[in-house]
Amino acid sequence: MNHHLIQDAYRLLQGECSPEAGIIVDLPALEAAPLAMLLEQYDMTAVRQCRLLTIYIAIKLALQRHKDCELLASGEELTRKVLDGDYLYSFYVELCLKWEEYDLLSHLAPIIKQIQIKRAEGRPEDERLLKGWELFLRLEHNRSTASQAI
Amino acid sequence: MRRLEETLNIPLKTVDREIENMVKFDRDVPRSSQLAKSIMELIRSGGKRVRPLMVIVGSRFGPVSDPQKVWRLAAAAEFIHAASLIHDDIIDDSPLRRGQKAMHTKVGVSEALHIGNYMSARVIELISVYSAERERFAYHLSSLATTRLCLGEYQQLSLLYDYDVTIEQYLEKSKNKTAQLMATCLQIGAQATGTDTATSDLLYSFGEKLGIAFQIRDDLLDFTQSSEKLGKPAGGDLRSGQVTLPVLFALRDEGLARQIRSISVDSSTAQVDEVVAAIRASDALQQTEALSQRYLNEAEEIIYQLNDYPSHQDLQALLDYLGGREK
Repeated sequence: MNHHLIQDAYRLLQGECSPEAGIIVDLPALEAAPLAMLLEQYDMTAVRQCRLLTIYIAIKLALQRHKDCELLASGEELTRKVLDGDYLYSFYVELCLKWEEYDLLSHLAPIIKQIQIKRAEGRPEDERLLKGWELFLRLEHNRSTASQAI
Repeated sequence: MRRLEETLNIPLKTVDREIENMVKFDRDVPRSSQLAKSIMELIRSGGKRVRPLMVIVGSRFGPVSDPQKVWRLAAAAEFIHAASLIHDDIIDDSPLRRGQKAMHTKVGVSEALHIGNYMSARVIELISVYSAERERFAYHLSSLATTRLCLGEYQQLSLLYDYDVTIEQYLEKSKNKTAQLMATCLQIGAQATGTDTATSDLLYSFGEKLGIAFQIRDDLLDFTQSSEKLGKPAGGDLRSGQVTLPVLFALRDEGLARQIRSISVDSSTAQVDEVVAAIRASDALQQTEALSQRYLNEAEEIIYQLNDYPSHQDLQALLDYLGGREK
C-alpha cells in the first residue's frame, strides 16, 4: 500500500478545508487504504490519484462525523459533528468542481444519496461508496481503452 | 394586504408540487417509507417559499424561456433550505418547526440528520443529471453548495458569548448564514434564462443586501416581539450566547456593556431578562433598525438600476416583504 499517497491526500484535504471550519482530518488510514490500493491499479497521474483519494477521504469523513452523532446528546460536540459532516458533504462537491471531476460527481451523487436513504432506514450500506468508486474507475478505464482502440 | 406570491403572480401550489416531485419521482425512495413521509410532512407544514420565489423572480430577467429548468431550480433551492432547517433544529435542539414537532423529535436525531443529507444529495443528483451543459451544471452546483452556510454556522459557534465580536464579523456571519443563499437564488434563476452577467451580478448584490437586512430584522424581532408571538422567551439569542447586532450596539454604552458582559452560559433567566429589558430601553434597537434600513436603501438603489426590466417591480415586492414593510 502506498502510504505516501494516503498521507499526501490527508495533507491536501487538510490544506483545502477552511481553517474556520477547524476540521481535523483524522480518518484512520485503514479507511482510506482500499481506495488507495484501487487507484494504484489504474493508469493516471500522481496528482489525479491524490485528488481522487482526497475526495474519497472527504466523503468518508463526512459519513464518519454524522455516524458519530447517533450516540451524542445535544451540545457542542453534537453541533460540531453535524456541522463537520454538512461542511464535508458540501466540500466534496466543491473539490470535484474545482478539479473538474464532473463525471465522478455525477456518478457519485446517486450513490451518496442511496447511502443516506439506507442510513435513514437504519440499515446502513456504506460499502456502496467503495463499490461505486470501483465501478467508476472501471468504466472510465474501459472508455479510455475503447477510445484508444478507435 | 396581498400575499407575496400573489403580488409576484407565482402559484405556490405549483412550487409545492415541484418540491414534492423531487421525492415522489425518486425511484430509490419507496412512497410508504418514513423518509418520504417525513419530507412530505415537512413540505406540507407550510413555509413562505421565499427562496423558490426568488429563483423565479431572477429568471424573469433573462431572454430565454425555460420554465421546466426554472421550476426545478426553485424546488432545489427550497430543498437545500429545508435540509438546513432540519439540521439547525438538531443543533439548537428546537422542539418545534412551523408550529409542528421538529423532525428530529419525531424520528430521532440520526434519522433526521440523514433525511436532511438525503435532501441535499438529491439536489446534487438532479442538477448533475438534468444539466447537459457542463458550465451551467458546475455553476448551479457550486452556487447551491452549502459550505458558506456551514462557515456561517461555525462562525456563530466560535463567537458564542464573545462580546468582543465586531460588527464586521457579525455581518460576515450573516452573509454566510442567510444572505448568500438568497442572493444565489436570484442569480441562478437569472442565469438559467440567459440573463447577462452584469444584470445577474446586480441581482446577486440585491439579494445579498436584502438577505443581510432580513437577518438583522430577524435578530431585532428577538427583542421587539412578545414571548407569545415568538413562541419562546424574548431575548432567546442572547440567552443562547448569540451576540447579535442589537447587543453589539448596546455594548457601546458602558453601563449596559458591564451588564451584558456578565451574561454567560450559567446566567439565570431573571438576569438575562433584566439585560434584555435594558437593551430594549436603550437606543440600540433604533441603531439596529437604521443599519437594516441602510441595507434596504442600498438594495433599492439596485432596483433603480434595473428599471428597464419590467420585473424590477418584483424586486420591490421582495424588498417590501422581506424588509418588513409588508406582512
